[in-house]
Amino acid sequence: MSESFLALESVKTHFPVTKGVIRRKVIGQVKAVDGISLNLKKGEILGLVGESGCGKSTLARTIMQLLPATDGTIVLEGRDLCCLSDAEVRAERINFQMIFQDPYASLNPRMTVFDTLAEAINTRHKCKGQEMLARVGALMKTVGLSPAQMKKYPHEFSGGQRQRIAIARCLAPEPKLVLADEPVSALDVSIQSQILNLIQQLCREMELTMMFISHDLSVVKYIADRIAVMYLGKLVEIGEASEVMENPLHPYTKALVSAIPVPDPDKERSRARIVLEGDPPSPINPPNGCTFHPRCAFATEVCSQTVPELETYQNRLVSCLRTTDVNAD
Amino acid sequence: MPLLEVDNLTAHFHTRNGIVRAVDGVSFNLEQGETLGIVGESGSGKSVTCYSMLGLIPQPPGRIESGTAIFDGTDLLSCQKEALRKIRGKRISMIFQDPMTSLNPYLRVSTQLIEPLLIHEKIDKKEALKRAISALEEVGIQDAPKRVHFYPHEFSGGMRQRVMIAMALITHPEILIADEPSTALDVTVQAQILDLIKSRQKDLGTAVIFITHDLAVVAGFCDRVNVMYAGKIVESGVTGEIYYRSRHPYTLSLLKSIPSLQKKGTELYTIPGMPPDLSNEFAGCPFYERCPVSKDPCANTPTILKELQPDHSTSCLRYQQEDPAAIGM
Repeated sequence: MSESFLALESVKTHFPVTKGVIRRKVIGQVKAVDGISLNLKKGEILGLVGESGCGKSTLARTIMQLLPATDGTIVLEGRDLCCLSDAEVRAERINFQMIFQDPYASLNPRMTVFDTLAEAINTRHKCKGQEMLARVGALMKTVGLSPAQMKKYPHEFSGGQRQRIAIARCLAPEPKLVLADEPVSALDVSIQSQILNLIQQLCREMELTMMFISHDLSVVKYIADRIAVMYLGKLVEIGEASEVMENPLHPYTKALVSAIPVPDPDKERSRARIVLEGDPPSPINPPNGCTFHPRCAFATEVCSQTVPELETYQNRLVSCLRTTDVNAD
Repeated sequence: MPLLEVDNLTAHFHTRNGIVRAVDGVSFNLEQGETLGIVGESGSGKSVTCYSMLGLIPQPPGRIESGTAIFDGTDLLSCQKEALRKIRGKRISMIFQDPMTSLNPYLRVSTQLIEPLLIHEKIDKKEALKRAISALEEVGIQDAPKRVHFYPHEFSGGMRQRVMIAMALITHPEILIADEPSTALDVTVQAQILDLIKSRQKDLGTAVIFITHDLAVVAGFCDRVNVMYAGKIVESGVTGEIYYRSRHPYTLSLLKSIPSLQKKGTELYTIPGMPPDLSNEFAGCPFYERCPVSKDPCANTPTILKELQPDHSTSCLRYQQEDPAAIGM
């Protein structure tokens, strides 16, 4: 498609499982990301949700070219990132950046804020001295930090402030695409909303395209335009955020939405919840057919044999063999 | 008579940078079989409150400055270590946040499960193992006779938390302290674990103290709620009162900042500023600087928890004196 800004076409990332120390043998594949096709329009915020181990972070790292894709194409503004050389990827990476989950681990403890940000700014604008000071200062102001703090080290900041530094670093090369991998899940409730506001404001002002990864649907619902739900390396549902949240079509999405606790005692006690049985299966040895069928309340014979594809249903993409039956009433 | 009566519990940490007042004059009661939620941000003292009751805070640097915690005629804070050891793990037990780190990776689950039985009850290993197997079955682990001999790494996160619950309940305690038992887990698994604690509580008649930062989880789970801020209980009451008729600006701000309750596109409500540094002493209300409705007297009038009506207390000066509608939160 010409209009899409980022286009993923059946992206796969598999990790080999090996056995033996001296004579290594590949005995299996972990299919962390298994055939994902997605399009992001310019300026759009896509929320990617799923349980831990479903491959959402692996997908982000694959797009970032931090992990090689086993198969498929990742096209950013008409350029396929997968077939670029390492040096070309490095040059291209100023256009797409990532925010990591844990601001305690993602900042170098031996670098001051100035060093951290200057290094990132240098990737696009080579500058020194006063000009660099001015740029770092301006960047710190954008994320709500005082430029007076630029000579401090990460340990002198609180968690929320560190996440602001991490966001500033991500924005320093003036990227067009930002992949945010659980940027608020390590933060406290009251700080979380400050960071969400900042992200939202920056997206609007800088016209960023963003993939917002989270396991917390209530956060994603608030920030994202569209939501993509992942299960065991595959997409099971994509649609407008409000539609997915209010009327989930795939049985897994239904369970996810229903598992969000409601902050209202009366409603919470009276509502019927779908509690999924068991844990997600191992991606080394995924179930046959629809990978969700062992935990699905609607599964039939067919589900254990046929692999469902993403199909359009009510303006959305759903991969369930029984979409019509499941959503009959 | 309440099962547990905590009065004016004060626990301070004497560090190189001054005295950190982690818990400062906390009083509450726990009735038989009820579920009490303790809600607060990290650093608000919710965990330290429970740890100090069980003598689990490291001393030094920690020190219990004052207070009593009467459980069945014994003061947990001042009794002999020997007496506390007879209660801890037998009549009061605990589940920790992270099931990955709270199980010993070197020992089989069976060894860890029967340990409390061998210590507290005069039974032999064979009998204890039988109890362990049935305890695992009760928390929904299939194939328990085989799995009881597994090592912790052979279980998934949710399964490990089930093992922790089985271990905590194996001696049929009267009080179960659950310190963020579902925070490290996925939403779908979180729902399973909460359901499990609820059903085991019903079977055994255990009283539960549920520590969490998530107001949404508390809504459906707890009978009464204590909201903690900066080492103090700022509001306390039955769950419905706290959610529908909260009488403290901090609780109201927390409720307002839950993302799922906000409209998309609007700016999220945030509490300005940061949680206070507990090594400074407060002349007045600790929430004064962040409070949207504070007045001059709040800065230097010490706060006390005062009952507005049975089952609802607040430490907010304004809500104690004025009509809630006039304050306009």
